[in-house]
Amino acid sequence: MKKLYIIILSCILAPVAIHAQTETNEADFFKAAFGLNKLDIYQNLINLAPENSDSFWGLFQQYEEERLALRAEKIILIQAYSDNYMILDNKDIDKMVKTSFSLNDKTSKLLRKYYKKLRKAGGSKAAGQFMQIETYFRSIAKATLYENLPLIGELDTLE
Amino acid sequence: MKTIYTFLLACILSPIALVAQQDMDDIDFFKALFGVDKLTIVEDFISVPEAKSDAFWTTYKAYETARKALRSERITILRDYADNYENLSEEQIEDLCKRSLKQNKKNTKNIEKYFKKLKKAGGITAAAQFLQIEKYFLSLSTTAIYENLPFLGELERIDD
Repeated sequence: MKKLYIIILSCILAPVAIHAQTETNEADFFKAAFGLNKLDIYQNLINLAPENSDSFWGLFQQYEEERLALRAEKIILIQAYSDNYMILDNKDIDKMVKTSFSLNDKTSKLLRKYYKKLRKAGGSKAAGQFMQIETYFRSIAKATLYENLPLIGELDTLE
Repeated sequence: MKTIYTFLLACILSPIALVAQQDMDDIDFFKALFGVDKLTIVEDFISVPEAKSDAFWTTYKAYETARKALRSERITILRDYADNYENLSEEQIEDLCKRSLKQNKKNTKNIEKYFKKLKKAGGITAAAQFLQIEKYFLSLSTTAIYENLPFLGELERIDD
């Protein structure tokens, strides 16, 4: 039964998963999936009054820098999990889950903080567009991540 | 240029998008996507020691009740947006964004709260498995929703 779900999930997410396998470098992911970098995609989709453009995109770059720093921490955690999931004890799992909660919390706070800043800089509509695109890309990234991550204790189940 | 993005996104997510069109009912979403209801999938994936099984699954059902209440709030926000996105004022957009951010925060807190309860009830491995599966399903559902949600201001672009 479990295999059946995995096959169904693989079919659904196969095209995304192909990109996700090389996704350690995020710039490569955007280039491979859309042929452009993330900034180009956002600049094409977000409507801004010309006079607000510099401050809005300046803030967007700051957001990206902070987000990428958090992303680097997440990759370290994911790598540690992937390398060791067969031999993790209860304490290790608990510690990793706590780190994961803390990183998620920081990422959500960052999004809330920059939504406010971007709204001040470019208005509600541009900030709302940023939120829509960012939430969408984040959900794709998360779905592909969990699709490719081994399930805790899956080897125990197979045995 | 925007057409290219839309086309690429549609290709990547089209199987999910097909399902998401009938996504308003949680049960239908899982049935359409996986052929079974959510509980059946989750029970198959999560390994709970037999002695802890009752306590774990009772707590899980309590989580589901809480999650569905939050999901209703989320659907209200999405409906408010989808029904009015062509004519939203700056204030209305701000209100929707704030509600959406607040709602995401509540969802996250709910998962963290129930992770702790499930850990007590069924042990850390079962609770962590819950977390992995739940986050996966939530990200799938968010992707499907955003794939089908009209983009803010998209009509203005077409008019341009």
